[in-house]
Amino acid sequence: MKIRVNGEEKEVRLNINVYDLLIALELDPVQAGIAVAVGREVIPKAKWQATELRENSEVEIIRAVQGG
Amino acid sequence: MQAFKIADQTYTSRLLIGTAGYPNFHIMSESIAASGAEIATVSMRRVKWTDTSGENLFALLRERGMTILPNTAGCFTAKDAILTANLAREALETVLIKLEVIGDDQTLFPDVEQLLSAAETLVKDGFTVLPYCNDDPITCKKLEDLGCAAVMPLGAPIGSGMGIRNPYNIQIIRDLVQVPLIVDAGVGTASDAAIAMELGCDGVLLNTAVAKAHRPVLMAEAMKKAVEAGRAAFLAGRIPRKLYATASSPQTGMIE
Repeated sequence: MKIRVNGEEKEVRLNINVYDLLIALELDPVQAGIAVAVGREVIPKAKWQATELRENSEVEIIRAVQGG
Repeated sequence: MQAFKIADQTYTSRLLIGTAGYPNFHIMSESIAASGAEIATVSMRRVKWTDTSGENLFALLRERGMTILPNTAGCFTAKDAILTANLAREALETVLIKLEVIGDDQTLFPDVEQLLSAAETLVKDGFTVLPYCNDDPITCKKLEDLGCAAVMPLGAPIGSGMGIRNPYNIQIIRDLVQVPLIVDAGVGTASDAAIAMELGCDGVLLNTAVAKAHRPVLMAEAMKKAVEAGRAAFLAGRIPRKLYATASSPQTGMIE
């Protein structure tokens, strides 16, 4: 199915959960410092495995960068 | 000397430093160390798949035991700022948030209406809110009344290096609010930071003045000293200004 991650279209397996999406994107899910929102709703780390994505889900994956 | 406290956490340094715009990661790291700051600001942005630099800002700041203060820079609405704050809380495991709600791209002045609305929501949601705001005593008072942990009026527009453009307002804000008062934005050089502290501010938050200095590490050191000197001068109490001279050497026992 198609979803959007950080504004980019990605092809992922059906109903993939947030945790597996991070692994598929080669992001280490246990590393500290990243957060995920699906459809503008923040998904706490504890719910990453239980949160399945749907066709056209809008996912944001963010981290701290240099800022003032 | 009275301790500098934000939300029950005591700090030795009264300088808060930004992490953006340095020539490179190494100079940033050295500048932060030279500044003596214990609080550093970061922004929240999308993860880039192509980033292979291995430079992990979060890891560096955490390793040094620094307080990480995420900002909501780039947000133009309360709604976006609230989402960014929630993402920051989740990513960085902190309830601290430097709340910025910008009204206009050119001036980067805060949108007061959106700022107050976001501050109210975030305080209710358990955040420790440090709002970047105008040097307007009434707005600062309102932010304090909403439960913000500090107020952070600008000295001048972000990155302008124009210094403290309205010291009288900063003085009035000092009289009006009990929460920590931190000048955020506008500082261009060490004397600006010293002036902010001499006015009775509890701290100074700056970034560009160090990051874009010809020698950032040396400027970071200068800022550290300026904040300390300004604080000491405030506590010591300056003499009143007078138009005419008063001799400091004895007037008696002169040779005749």
